[in-house]
Order: sequence, then structure tokens, then C-alpha cells
Amino acid sequence: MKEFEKHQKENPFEVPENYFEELSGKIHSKIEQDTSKKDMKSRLVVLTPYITIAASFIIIYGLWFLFLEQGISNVHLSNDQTEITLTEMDYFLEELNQEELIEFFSTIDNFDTYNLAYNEEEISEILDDIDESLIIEAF
Amino acid sequence: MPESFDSNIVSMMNEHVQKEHVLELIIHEYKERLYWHIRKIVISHDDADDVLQNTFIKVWKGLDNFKAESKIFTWLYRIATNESISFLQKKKKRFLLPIHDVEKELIKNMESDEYFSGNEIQLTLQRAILTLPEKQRIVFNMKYFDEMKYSDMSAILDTSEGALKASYHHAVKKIKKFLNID
Repeated sequence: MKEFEKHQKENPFEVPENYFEELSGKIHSKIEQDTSKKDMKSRLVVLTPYITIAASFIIIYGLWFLFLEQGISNVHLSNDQTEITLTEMDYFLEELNQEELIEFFSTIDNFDTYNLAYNEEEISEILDDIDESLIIEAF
Repeated sequence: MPESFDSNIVSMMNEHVQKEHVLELIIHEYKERLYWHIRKIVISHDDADDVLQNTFIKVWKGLDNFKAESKIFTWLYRIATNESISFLQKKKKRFLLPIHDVEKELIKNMESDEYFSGNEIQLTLQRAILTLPEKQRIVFNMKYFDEMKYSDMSAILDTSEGALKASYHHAVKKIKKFLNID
């Protein structure tokens, strides 16, 4: 090893200019970044139960809205259908007479906007020709 | 190592002086020594810079738990050495390099590093050192360049003094062989 004694222990490495002067600042700013990231994480950890609860409520409400509302409208629809097809329609048709029907249509507001150029006699004739079974089918 | 520095730091911690201020004092006292210790292990300046910054961040995180019975010098060198070794291991994994290719990589880094200004003799010696196994290389650098006591090295590397002496002896032998010196 003695042949190397001239140069061997000299440091062959160098550093950029002002490296050691600027090092401390770089380390402190890295620590600051680290700390703010950690703060954000710990804040999220604290908020996590609240966020979970809020998300659960939203999901439950969403599901309620989707299924319950749909269910209710289905019930209404089926009730309506049942009422119309089975009981009320029969009753309605039985009770229906031409005069009442004419009176009913003539009382509808803006009936003229449909541009129905029929007078009372014509409507009576049309209604006479209608087969009751067709009306039931149509409903 | 001035023991007054250690006791000063410990009393500052006990008096709950701001951690930033304590760290600043440690950086000021140890930045150069630790940098050169790390640089000899990881070779390139950029890597040494990363490892040194991570070392001081670990010091910052561990300051609250630092125990007065161990020397700050030993504690810092241990963190720096472990950070350097784990940096090299990560590098091996990242590039899937076998051990001998890591040495080649380090030599290549050294030769192309704009912050290496060694002459031919120094370059040859560094090449010889880089042929040593990692731990032996660290032991050689600490003893040969830094002239550190075996007792300090033992505390830092958590190895017995006898084992360190044997490791250094083997390292010198290998380097002599590499350099064709009797």
C-alpha cells in the first residue's frame, strides 16, 4: 500500500459549489412537505368515519329512491289497472249513457282545440256504433 | 467526538427546545462527515445527496426517541450506513442487477461522475475497493480513509471488534492482490 501513499488518502470526490451551504434549506423544506402531507393524511383519518357515514346515507337514499319509488309507482300502476279492468270499467260502462257522455265531453275546457267538427247528433251516432267490447279492449 | 456536543443536544431535547433548531445544529455539525461516508458507499454525488437528505429526515423523525445513553455520532453514522446499504439494495432490485454488475455499475458511475476528480492512482484504488463485498468495503473505507476507531465502528456496524479487524485484514489483502502489491 505504501506506493499509494502519495495520493491514496486524498479525497478524489468533489461536490457542486455551495452544496453544503444549501443542504440544510433543502432538508428543512423536505421535512415541511413531509409534515404537510402527514397533516393532510391525519385530517383524512379523522374525517374518515364522517365521510363513511355521509357516503352510507347517500347510498341508502339513492337505493331508497331507486327501488322504493319504483315500487310505489308499480303499486299505483297495478292498482289503477286493477280498478280499470275489473270493477270500475264495468260499472262505468254500465252506468254510461250517451247524453252524459256528450255532456262530459262538452264540459272539457278547450275541447274545440281538438278541432272536432262534430255536433251533438253526430257524436250520438258515433257512440251508438261503438262496440262496448272494443272499449274494454282499448283500456 | 466532542462529548459536549452530545450533552448539549440531549439537554436541549430535555428542555423541549424546538426540534428544527436541534436538527439544524446536528446538520451543521455532521453534514460533511456523513456526506463523505455515504459518498464512498454509493459513489455518485446525486445518490449521496438523496441518501444524506433521507438520513437527516430519519434523524428528524427519531429525535424524540433518541436515548441519551447512545452517542449521537454513533446513532447518525448507523442511520447513514443503513440508508446507504438499503439504497444500493433498492437499486439492485430496481434494475434486477446481480452483485458483480452492481460493482460495474458503481465503477461506471464513478468514471462518468463530473464530481470525481481523482488521478489515475486514486481511480485504480477506488476500482480495487469496489471489488470488495459491500460490508467489507464499508469497513475498509471507515478504517483506511476515515481512520475510525474499531470501538466506534463496532457500535455503528453492530459487529464485534475482532470481526471488524479480520474483515479489514481480508480487504487489504484483496486490494493488494488487485493492485499487484506484495
